[in-house]
Amino acid sequence: MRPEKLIIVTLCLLPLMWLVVRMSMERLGVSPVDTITSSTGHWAMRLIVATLAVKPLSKITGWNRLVSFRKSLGLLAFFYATLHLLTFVGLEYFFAVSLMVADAVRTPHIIIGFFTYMSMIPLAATSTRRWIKRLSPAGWNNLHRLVYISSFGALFHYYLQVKVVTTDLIIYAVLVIVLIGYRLIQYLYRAKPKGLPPKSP
Amino acid sequence: MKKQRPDSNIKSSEITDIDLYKSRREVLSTMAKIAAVTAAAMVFPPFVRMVSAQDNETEIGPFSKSSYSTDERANTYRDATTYNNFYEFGLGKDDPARNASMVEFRPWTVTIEGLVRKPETIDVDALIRKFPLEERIYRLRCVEAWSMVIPWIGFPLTDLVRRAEPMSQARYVEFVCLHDPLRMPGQRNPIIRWPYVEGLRMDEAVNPLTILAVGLYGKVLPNQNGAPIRLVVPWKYGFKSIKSIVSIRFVRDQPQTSWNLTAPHEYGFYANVNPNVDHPRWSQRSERRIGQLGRRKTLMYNGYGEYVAHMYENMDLRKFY
Repeated sequence: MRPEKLIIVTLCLLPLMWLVVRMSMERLGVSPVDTITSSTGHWAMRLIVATLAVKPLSKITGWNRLVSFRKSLGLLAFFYATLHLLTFVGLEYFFAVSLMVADAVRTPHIIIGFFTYMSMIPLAATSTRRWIKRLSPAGWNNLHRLVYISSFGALFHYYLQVKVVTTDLIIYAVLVIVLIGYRLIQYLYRAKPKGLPPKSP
Repeated sequence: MKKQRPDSNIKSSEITDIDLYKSRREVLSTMAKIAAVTAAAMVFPPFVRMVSAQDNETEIGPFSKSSYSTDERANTYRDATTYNNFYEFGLGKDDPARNASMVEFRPWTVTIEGLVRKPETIDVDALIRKFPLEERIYRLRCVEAWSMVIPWIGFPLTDLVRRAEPMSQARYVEFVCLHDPLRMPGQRNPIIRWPYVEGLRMDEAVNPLTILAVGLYGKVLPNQNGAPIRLVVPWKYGFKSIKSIVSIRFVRDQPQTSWNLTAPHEYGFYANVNPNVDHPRWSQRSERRIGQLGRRKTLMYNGYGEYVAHMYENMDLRKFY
């Protein structure tokens, strides 16, 4: 792995390392499950935003190297999301599946959380070079637009479970809307190919 | 080579006045100290919290035991005093312990008013002295689906009601929390209409389980738990147990309570713990007991049905959530 990539991956794993350190010092607060769920959830969200920010940032800064980090950022987001899900199933419910399902079907944000996670699975699975080759560039790009669903899904998942709207919820929402909005605007104002016959009168 | 004669090249007007020089150095060193402490506090927030949970450990008593106490194991003092929903001090669970501990809550008066024959405005400590204290080890179930077992020290609200001599038109009791954005910085955030207001129907107010709490774990009530006096209604969701009470008013009509005003279809007036009536956005069938892994089934009326169910016999609890 190139040195810059190693640095990025290490930096992104620091939150997890800090959680483990706190766990060993029993400094996870009064409700450790709360703390772990919250931390893994927030970092998954932040890393999703980071992946969305790569393209616009590389265009603005002209630093094309950035795009090579997107795969790492995406996989790290999926990693934190997986930890978030495992904490929920394993630590919150202690694998009591029937109790969990009974609650989940009445709790919209849990259902949305599951679907959001599922939308991330194909993204992680097709992140390898092998799959990039297997799918046509257009096909791969189309599939990876699933990240828009993951982004709004994660946002909605968070929104549905807070009692009052918090600052970080607003920040995430603004970032997701701006970063996806940027792509929408680009799509709407894309250069039309020349040389085609004009539309019929 | 030209020799530099530093002294002669400096104009006297450019020499910093010695007092100004000293004070600037002080300012910089103070700023550096503040920055260092802030950085340390941000890196080691548990350290800061440990410091603040230690104050205010004055004993309270004497108090008698009560048969209404549960024999379930109580949570730790640290659990109860560092995991709080008290939005007047911030939205995080650790904010009240951090922001409330250093606040001064004396002198404090409580006003008993409204449709009563004996209204009064009384110093809170004088008020507390009038009632024998009991220890009530109660389950507290938050609407967010977590719970604790807390050994409160207090007296039955019915004793205070009797003292006030309510008139027959008084059918509800309204409680008001302190309104002071200076001491309670969270009140500068209009997420809830301040001050926090709660209420009980008269039969709920005089129910033997309802207490006004002034302490916990044998110690005076810490600020983050609603000092100096708060309500505890164990068969209802925690938001009904209003903290830091300044006014107890006896009224004819059902009071408009804060959470009901903020989100009317999510938080009702009765707010009885009920696993069969879900919150619109989450299930109420189970809860997380702080200090334990996994979840447990939520009990109807938080397990206090034998003392309270009769008050709701003919009520549709889905309608009166």
